[in-house]
Amino acid sequence: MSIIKYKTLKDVPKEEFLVPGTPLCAGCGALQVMRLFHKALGGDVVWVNAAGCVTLMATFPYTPLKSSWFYIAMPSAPAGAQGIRDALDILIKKGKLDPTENLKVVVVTGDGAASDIGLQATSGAIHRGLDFFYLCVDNEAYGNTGFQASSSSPMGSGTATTKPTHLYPAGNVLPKKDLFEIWRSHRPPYVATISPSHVIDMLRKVEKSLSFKGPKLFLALSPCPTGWGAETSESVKLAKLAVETGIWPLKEAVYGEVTHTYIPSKRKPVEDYLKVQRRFAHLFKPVKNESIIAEIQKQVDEYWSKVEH
Amino acid sequence: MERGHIFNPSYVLVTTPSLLFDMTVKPLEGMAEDSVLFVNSPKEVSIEQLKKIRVIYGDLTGLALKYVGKDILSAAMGAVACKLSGLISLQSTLGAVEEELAELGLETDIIEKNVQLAKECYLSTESVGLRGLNHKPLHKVVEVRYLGEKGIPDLLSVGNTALRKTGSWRVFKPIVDKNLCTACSICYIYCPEACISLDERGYPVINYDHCKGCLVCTTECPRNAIRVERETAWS
Repeated sequence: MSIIKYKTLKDVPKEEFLVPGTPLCAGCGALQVMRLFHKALGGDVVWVNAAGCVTLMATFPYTPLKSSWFYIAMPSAPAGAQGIRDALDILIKKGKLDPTENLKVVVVTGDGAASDIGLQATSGAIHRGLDFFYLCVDNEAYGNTGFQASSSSPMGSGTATTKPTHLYPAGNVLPKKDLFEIWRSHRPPYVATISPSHVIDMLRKVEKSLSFKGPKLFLALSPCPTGWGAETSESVKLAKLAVETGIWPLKEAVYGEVTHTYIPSKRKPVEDYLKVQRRFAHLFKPVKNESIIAEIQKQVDEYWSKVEH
Repeated sequence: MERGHIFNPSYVLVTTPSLLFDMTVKPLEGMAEDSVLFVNSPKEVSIEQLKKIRVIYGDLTGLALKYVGKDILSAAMGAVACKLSGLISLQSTLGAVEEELAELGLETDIIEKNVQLAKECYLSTESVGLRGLNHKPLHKVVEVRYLGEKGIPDLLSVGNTALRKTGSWRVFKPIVDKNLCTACSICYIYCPEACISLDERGYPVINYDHCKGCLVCTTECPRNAIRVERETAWS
């Protein structure tokens, strides 16, 4: 199947489903992802949101969405999605809801709910083959509560709970959990990574996923000016750097078969990405920590050595 | 330090005058006639409610940009609060700024800049002494008001955050230079807030009522056609 709907930036749908005025931080990467993601999904959507930064987007009595919104506790967003999907299916079957009013059920959570607190419910929903979308906006920590480390925080990053100390000069010593592979191991119809910097790539992936019934899962890098310690104006630039350095590979997996949708022709050194963020500042000041930077570069190189051949 | 709900404040410090107009924030609620309001604004604000209470103005954003180079206000606002009370000395105030910022792990020169900022704010603010001692008893019930079309607590509302003018967040304002713009639509696509729309010829139009001033558009514009100015309209 060839996807030809989105070729250039002129093809980005003009209709907005998210209006301005949210209380989210200026330059929020998650909001940027959601806005573009929603454009590709269309308006007939019910979002199921696990507690996180994105929850603040729709603070009662206000909502920026022109679509529906269901707020649920951190561990249980995919379970909530199951309930809504079942209700819609039953209402349609009984003739109480016109099939034209059917909705796409879309879970949106941060990386904390996706990788830690809600992983069990997600695994269950994928296992049951629930027909839903999952968008994880990954800012690599618990941003809403003050940027504490999650299992999605990368090795070498400083967070509120992994501050660099003389015992742990790297800050966070644990590796970033590979959620893409965890999701993929369930062999769902569609899994993809997306970045707000690569818009056509994102829209094409959403478009492609629409043809599948069952779980369709998206992992989106979401630059966080507040937590990452960068200017609000740098959000898109950081996302672009994450892709160009190879730290954030753009890929998809259809029933478990992985394809890289974008392979940087010449990868930039990871240092370019790290040195512009406060969360990695301890790797450069007061003295440059060559060994940790080299370790991060090595992990990226090892990843791509399996892809580029 | 005691934290929590303050129902009858002696002093209220407002970081941006736009909060005075916000239906949900209601910063003036509970203020008595002898309480004092400090507003961070380079100029006076005229609204009806401010006529009954004493208002002091100061351009802390301007001072923060001068001393720290960024619109970071915590040290400045803290220093103003200390001075207003008349209870806390300059020395204690600056000591507290230094101590608290050091705890955050900030670099020495940034701390020093904040101390200088706090000092100027302290010295340029008048002390009004202890206030608001004749307050009525505490409210027991927090009233929920139905705000009409300014924000109806209604689960069926859609897209009503548009009623909240987040343009007031802006410290710097992006301005499109029509002569340089090529209508490539990149700023429109990358604006996280959907604050840029395209006119019939494909040129960007910025929604200044809501633009938070993140300046992603300025960074991403391939033609450098979006310049930046310090925002003053809201204050």
